[in-house]
Parts: sequence; structure tokens; C-alpha cells
Amino acid sequence: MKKAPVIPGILLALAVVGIVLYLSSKTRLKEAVTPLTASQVAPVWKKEVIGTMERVAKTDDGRTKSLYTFAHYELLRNRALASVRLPLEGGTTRTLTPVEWFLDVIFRPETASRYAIFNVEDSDALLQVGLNPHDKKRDKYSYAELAPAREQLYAARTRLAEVPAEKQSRLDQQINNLATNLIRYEDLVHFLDFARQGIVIPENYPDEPLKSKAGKTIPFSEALAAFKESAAFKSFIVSAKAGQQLPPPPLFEKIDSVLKDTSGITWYPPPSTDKPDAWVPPAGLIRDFLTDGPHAATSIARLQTLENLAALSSDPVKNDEFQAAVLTFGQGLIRDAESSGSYKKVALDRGYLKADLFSWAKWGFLLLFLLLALSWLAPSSGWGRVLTKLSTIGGFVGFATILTGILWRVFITGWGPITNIYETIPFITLMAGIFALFMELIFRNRISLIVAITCGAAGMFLAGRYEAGDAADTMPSLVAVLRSNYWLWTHVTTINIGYATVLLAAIFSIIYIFCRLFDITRQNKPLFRMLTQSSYGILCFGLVFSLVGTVLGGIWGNESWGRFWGWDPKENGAMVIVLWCLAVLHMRLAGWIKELGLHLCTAFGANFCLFSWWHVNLLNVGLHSYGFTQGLDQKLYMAYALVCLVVLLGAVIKFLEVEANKAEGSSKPAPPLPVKAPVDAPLLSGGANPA
Amino acid sequence: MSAETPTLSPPETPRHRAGLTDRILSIVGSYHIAVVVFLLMIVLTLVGTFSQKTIGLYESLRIYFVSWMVPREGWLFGFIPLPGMALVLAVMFVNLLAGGVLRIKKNWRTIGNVIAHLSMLGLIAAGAASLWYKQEGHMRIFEGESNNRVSAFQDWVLEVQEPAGAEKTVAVIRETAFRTDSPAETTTFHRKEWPFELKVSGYQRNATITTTGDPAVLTASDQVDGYTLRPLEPNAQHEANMAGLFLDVLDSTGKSIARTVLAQAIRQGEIVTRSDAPFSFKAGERNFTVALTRESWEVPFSIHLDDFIATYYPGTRKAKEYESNVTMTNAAGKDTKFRIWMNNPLRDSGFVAYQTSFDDQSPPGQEKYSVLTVVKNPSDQWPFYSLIMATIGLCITFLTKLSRFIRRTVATPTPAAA
Repeated sequence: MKKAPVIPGILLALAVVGIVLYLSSKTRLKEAVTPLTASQVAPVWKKEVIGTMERVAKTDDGRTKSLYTFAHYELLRNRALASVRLPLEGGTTRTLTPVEWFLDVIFRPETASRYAIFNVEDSDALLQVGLNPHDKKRDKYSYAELAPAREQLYAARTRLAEVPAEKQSRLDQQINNLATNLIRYEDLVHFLDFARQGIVIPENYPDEPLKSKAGKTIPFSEALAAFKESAAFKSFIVSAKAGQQLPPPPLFEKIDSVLKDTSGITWYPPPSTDKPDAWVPPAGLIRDFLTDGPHAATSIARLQTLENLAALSSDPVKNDEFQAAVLTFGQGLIRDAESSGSYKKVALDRGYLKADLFSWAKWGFLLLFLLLALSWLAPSSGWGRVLTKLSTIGGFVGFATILTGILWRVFITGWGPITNIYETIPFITLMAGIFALFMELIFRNRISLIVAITCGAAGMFLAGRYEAGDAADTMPSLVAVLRSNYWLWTHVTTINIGYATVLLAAIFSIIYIFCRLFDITRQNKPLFRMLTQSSYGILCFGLVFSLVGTVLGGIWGNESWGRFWGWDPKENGAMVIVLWCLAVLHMRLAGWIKELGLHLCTAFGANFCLFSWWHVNLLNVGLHSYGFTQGLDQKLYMAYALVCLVVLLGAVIKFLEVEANKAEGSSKPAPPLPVKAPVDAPLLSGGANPA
Repeated sequence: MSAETPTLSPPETPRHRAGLTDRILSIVGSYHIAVVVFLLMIVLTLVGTFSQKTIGLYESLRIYFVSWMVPREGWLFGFIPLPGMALVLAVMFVNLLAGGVLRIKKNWRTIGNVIAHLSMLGLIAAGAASLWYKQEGHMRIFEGESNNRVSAFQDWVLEVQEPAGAEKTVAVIRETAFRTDSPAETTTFHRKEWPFELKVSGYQRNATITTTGDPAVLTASDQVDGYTLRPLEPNAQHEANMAGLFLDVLDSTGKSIARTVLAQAIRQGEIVTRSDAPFSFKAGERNFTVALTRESWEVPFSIHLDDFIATYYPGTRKAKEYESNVTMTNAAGKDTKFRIWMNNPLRDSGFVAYQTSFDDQSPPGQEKYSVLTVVKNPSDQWPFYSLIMATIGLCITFLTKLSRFIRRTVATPTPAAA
């Protein structure tokens, strides 16, 4: 059995674990320590209530999703974490799930306003709007703390709307985000206000039956029903249809202001199967009632339910009754959604987020990484072999988990595996992992295995970070041009397999460069041959997929936009990868590069891959506007710099070797360089070149 | 194994046929040229891509991607000259033909490469064909109406007409011909059937006509009857630019017989109006008009928009689908019904019509309309054939290499285990 590179292995393992722990610690910051008293915390929600409300469906941006998904991303955007931890008196804490938080916000806004749910990255942003920030630079704030500055925040947001994104400072962007989050939060808080507050009948209200209640506050639903029957409203409608403008009837303005509030939760399913798009928020019930729309028949009863819930929620004594009412309410919504035929994938949608497969995969891969690092301490011992076997099996399980996650998404959306940038991450991770595991099956030397596991961990980590950073539903509806499963399954998958393979080839080359750096050249020639063969083989594979994917993209462009090639940034990015692969392969044939050169070039290829995968989306020009993203420039340049650094290190090796040769003089034989294949020998020649 | 020992059989050795042709082929088709071409293409593509952020796609195309030499303004870091993509691709074509198709050793192991190389030739040829022969424009059709005219959406043209003549349009001069880098430069146009010459001066990519008193005009070096051009910052979206120029009609002796200023936009005070009204002049006994306008042409069929449907995601203004249901009447008068929607263009008699844009939000009383991109491209399907070839070729190469590699790895005990 050959000797495994023990020390570099351990160093690498420690480095990766260290980086991962550091980065994940950044996402889990300590809470602001302002414990809440017992009276400041809402009563605990019953399990069945939460379970039911999580399954309630709502539509958002053309997608029917679970309330759980909605609340999860609302919280993630506000707080950078999809749960709320409340510090309580006595040093204990209580953790709220997204829907528990959501129910508190809509039914117990007073209490929820004390939950620290707004993440502020830089406390200077608060100073700018005249607030006294906490001591910590990055901390979480409650709505109650931010509310005094809401006017300033909104004014700043209005001002920033005029400033192009690239000219906004980091602080500007934070203020803007915070203001947007605050607006969305207030939408949630206030959309049930009409049910809580009722409506005041003006003193001089002319029509019965409300005339007798003049000056009193009555439930909104009662006022609405009476308003529709009033003579003033009827004559207003008649005149409006005739094209005349009468002064609006009394109460009209108050009802209209509620009616125009479209920010409410669209959780009322269509009343019948023939109108699948007729999901409405409470405001929609009011509109339908007044205009005899689809929901007119059930509007008043539904509004009364909300009023009943609002009344019960404010009475702490009636907590049990309240929770039972919420349960019935949720069950009713689910039942109606099911009978309208629009509930099909909602439970699946909630299940997907709850299962959180990608996080499980992430931690699993990290564990495997440690196992494998341990196995390197004694590779040929019994334990070492068992650990290796375990990690191999674990690797397969890990990638099967990612595959399950991807297929789960495909099943929910009904579209191919990649429809947005987020989805490229698990897909590319999976592909790189599969290829690396395939290499492991061929070579069985644990290098490819560790590559596969590292890819898995890094990819899932990136996916988590991207999702938290973007904090938006990762399955948004598709723009018209993307609505083609044929092209999503062909072009988009092919080109992303291209990215995955070119990146994987670069990883093998980077390992090669590091191994050369640790000078294990003399001990382990087969290792070098294996790395070269892997890198070269995968690069060839990458060329095939990148080329086919790029041309397929052109053909799609010719079917959708009327031209095969338009020098659009995304097209150019893909082509640059193809060109680089071709350049590297032909440079080898031309004798410009040999083994080390091949690895330097392949490693450098990662930059072109990053350019095409991420950078072109940051340029904000071109037809691929559905893929645009922002705010990643700095991270991307760091990645470029890292790749360049590795390539430079490799170049230093070359320089040192040349110097060493000079120093030793011509009398001594040159130090044995690893597998210096003749220029045009096919690299994929297996063990056919024994020294 | 001996026959395939890699050291003995480099994959692509020149044939030992020392003729002059062979030597020329080996130089023209060398790997060195191939690598240089690839690297240049990468540089051009990257520079051209980043430039789109500031100068827009149209300018980036002009400077980097359809040019033979990159003009001064596009040089790398301002001082390194670059060849244009057209030149690089032409060199690649020759290099590929010589090295990758003619000179390459042909046997069962290289057949995949030869096929892949041929497919790349096909792609470059498709690009060249569409660059030179592709006709493309917009057709806007209101619901319930027909159209058979397509207009260009990027370049302006000077359209010279003789209203009384048998052939109404005498000539079309494209913007690329009268575009100058500095307003001080002039270009002159003449056709042998014209009793006059046209001199274009003071060209601006984006400008409005204004009075000489306009305080925004700093140097009204040129003017006609108190009107001059007010230059505007060129828009990165080229289709938003409205060119402006001064036009002199010269007689055979070079004397100016008529003079005007032409632009799409006319500013009077704060009000800007659009106009492409032609300028009339008399040369000899004949009347002519010249207009600065979008080029438009007739297609040999007409399209009637029967119905336009846009579907939105509920509760949003995000279009889910939009489609034009049309009836196409061809030259022979035959009617055919089509549905055109995203990713599903209409293909008929050499033309392709794509759903591009629409407006269903017009104020009441105005019809909604649909915009189709109408393209005539001889190389429409070439990339598709090339793709099939490339896929077959690359797969053959890759699979033969892979199978050989696996067979060897399995057959030969690796030194690692030894």
C-alpha cells in the first residue's frame, strides 16, 4: 500500500473545518440581551394550531405556497435567520418557529413588536436615522426600537430610490433594506386592523339600518353589509355605470381604504375549480362582496371569522378559545383550498422547507470530511479502511440527499432542475460530486473522495449562504421566456454540468499544485499521474458539455429572441469557458505547456467559470435579465484573487525547479520530475507509461 | 499494446508528404495559431462584455465583435491594439480548415475530432452568413389589423426618394456610411443616376434640432435658418439614440443648392416633438426628397393579428405568457393561421417571426398591439446542424479515449498497488 500524504491531509482538513466553523459562526450571532418579562411574551401556541396554520396555502408572485414558506422567508429577510429566539427573564430562552412568529405578528402585534427580529449589519445605519444603536456593531432590533425612526427611514428610502444601485454605499443599502423590511412588517401588522378596530358610523349617516348606530363603533362586516344595501351606494353605482360622477356615499372612503389594502395575506382560495387564479386577501373579499365577484357569497362570513379571531386574541383569559378558533379557521382554509383543486403541492412545499435536506447534507459532508481526515492518520490500518468505506458510502448518501432535494423542487415547481441562480448551486454541487465519486471508483485512492466531500460541503454551504443573503422564495414563478421545460432540461442542465466539470478539473489541478508545493513529488508519482489524468479527463468532459450547452443556448436564443448569437454577457461567459478549454488542450498539443503548465491553466480556468456563473449576472446588462443579481462583487473578486494566488504559487514551483537544476549543475542528473509525458502523448493513457 | 504506446503515436502528426502545399498547410494550420486565436477571442470577448456596461451592446458590437480591427477607442488599456472579432474568426476558419480538417491525420481515433472541427467551421460560416445576409426588423401589428412592412430598430438611414419617379425610392444610405467620429468630418454620397451630390456634416449620434439661441448649444458652429443641433449624451441603448446631421445638396460643380438640418427630435423651448418629415429639394428639373428615418421594407406576405392574449401571474403584472394569434397571407394569397408565442416562432417561406413585445395597457379607444421580430436568415438552422455534428464528434473522441483509458487501468496493475 502506498503512503498517503498524511500531514497535508490533516492540514487541509483542519483548514477547511476552521473556515466552515468561522463562517457558520458569523451567521449565528449572540442575541441582544434585553430579556422579556413573562407579561411581554405571548402565550405558547399549541402544536396542532401551528401544524395546521403552517399548512394553510397562500399565493405569492403567482405561486401557491404554504404559509410556512411565506413566514420562513419573511423572517429570514428581516432577521437573517428563520427563527426567533426570545431571551426570557431568568436566563432562559424561547424559540419561535416562523409561523409562531407570524401568528404573533398578525394577532398580537403589541407583543410581537418587542421581538428583536430586524437584523442591522452596521449600527451606523441607525445613527444616520437618529436612533441610539446597541453597543454591538451588528445586532438585532425590535420593531418597537425602530418605530421612532420610521419616518426618517422611509424618507431615506424615497431618496435612495433615485440613486442607482451601484452608487449606493453599503450603509445606504442597509438603510434601504431596513426600510423595506419595516414596510413589509407593517403590512403584516396592519392588514387585520379593520377586524380589530371596526368602523365608526358618522353622526349624520342617512340610511337605515346604520342610522340608528350613528356615532357608534360597529364591526366592519356589519357596516359593509349595510353599506351595500344603502340607497346612497346603489344610486352611486347606477350613476357610475351611466358615466356620471356623484359624490361618494358616506362610509365609502373608510371602506375604500381597507379595500385598497392589497398587502394582506392571499389565503382565501378560489371558491370554485373553474377560477383557479381567484385567490384573494381580506381586501379581495370586500371588493368581491361589493362587486358581486367570485367570493361575494362567503365574504361576510369570512370577515366575521376574522373579527371573532381579533376579539378573542386581545383577551388573554380566552387563550384556549382563541387557539381553538385559529385552528378551526386554518382547517377551514385548507379544506376550501383542497376542494378548489389548488392545494395540490402546498403540503409538499412545506415539507421541502421543513426537511431542509441541503442543510442536512452540509453537516453530513462536514462529518464525513472529519472521518476521512481521521482515516488518513492510518490509511492502511483496519480502522482506516473502515473509515474510508464509511465515508465513501456517506458520500453517496450525501449526494443522493442533494439529488432528492433537487427532484423534490422539480416536483413542486414542475420545471427543470435549474430556473434561477440559487438552483444552480445544488445542481453544480451534485454534478461535481458525482464526477468526483466516479473518479474515486476508478482510482480508489481517497483523493477524489475527499474532493467529492469537500465539494458537497462547500456547495451546500454556499447554497445556504446565498439563500439567507437573498432571503426570497427560491422557487419564484418564471418569466415567459423560461417557461419551456424542453430548454430548461437541455440547455440549462448541460451548461451547468459544463461549469461543474470545469470547476472540478480546476480543483484537481489546485490539489496537484499544493502537492507539488509540499514536495511529495519524489515519493508518490502515481498520485501525480492520477491527478493529471483526472484533471485532464474532466477538462475534456467539461469542454464537451460547455460547448454543447453553449451552442444549445444559441439555438434557444434563435427560437426565442430571433438570433443565434448576440454577444450577450451570459452567452459570452459560456463561450469564454469553451475557448479556455480549447486553448488549454491546444496549448498542450502545441507544446506550450507540459504537466505543471496544464495544471496551472486548468486551475486558472476556475476564474472563467466563476465569471460565467456569477460575474455576468452582476453586470446588469443583456437579455438574461431574469438571472441578474447583485452585491457579490467583493466576494467574487476575492475568489478570483485566490485562484490567481494558487496559480502564482504553481509558477513559483516551476521557477524554483529551474533554479535548483542550475545550482546542481549539469554533472548531476536532473531531479526526477513527475510523469513528464512527451508533448503530444495522450494523457489519458492509464498506467501505460511506467518509468 | 505496443501499437498504441502513446510515445510512439502522437495523435496528430503531419503526414510525411513534403510538398509545398503541405508545408503551407502546416504553417497556416499550426497549433500555435490556434492557441493565439483562442486567447485573442477570450480577450476580445471579456473586454467586449465589460464594455457593454458602459457603452451598451450596439457600440460593443461595432467596436469589438463585428470589426476587422478594433478602433482606437477600444484598445486594451488604451494603448494595446486589438484585432476585431471578425478578423480573428476569419483566421480561425482558415487555421481550422488547414490544421483541423485537411492536415490532421485521419484514422478511427481522430475521426471524432475531424467531425467536431468541421462543425465549428459550420458555426463560423453561419455567423458570417447571418452577419452579411441576415435581415431583421420589427413589425408592429394592432389587433384586428394587418401589416406587411418591417422596420429596422437600430440604424438610421437617409432615404432619398423621387416622388414623381417610376421607382419611388432612389437610394437608402445607412448610418454606418455617414457616421463620423467627429462632427467636423464630412462624407459625400453620389449615385450615377443622381443629378446632385449629398454632403453630410456635423453628424451626432444623439441630438435634437434646436434654435441657435438655445443656451445648451455652446458652439453653434453650423446652422440653417437659425436652427442647429443640440448634441445629447449618447444612450447605451442604441435604439434610443436619435441621430442628427446637416445635409448639403451639391450640384455638379460642388456648389450648395440646398441645405437643411435633419434629426428625429425637434426642440422648441421645453417641448420636444418627433418628426421624420422629409426635406424636399429641386435638382435640375426633378424633385427629390430626403429623410432621416428608420429603414423599412416590405415582406412578401402580410400578417393579420386576429387576437393577442397576455396572461399574468395572479396578483402581479408579471407576464406568464403572451401570444399572437395571426393569419398569414402569403404572396400567392393563401391564408394560414398561426399561434406565435415565446420560444415558438412562426417559420414560413424563409422568414421567421418571433413574439417580441406587446402593449395591452393602451388607453381606452386605442387597440392593443403586438410586436413581432421578423427575420430572414439563410443560416437559420446551420447552428443546429453544427451542434449535432459537434456532439457526435466530441462524443466519439471522448468515449474512445475514455474506454481506452478504463481498459488500460483495469488491465494494467497500477504502479500504486505494485
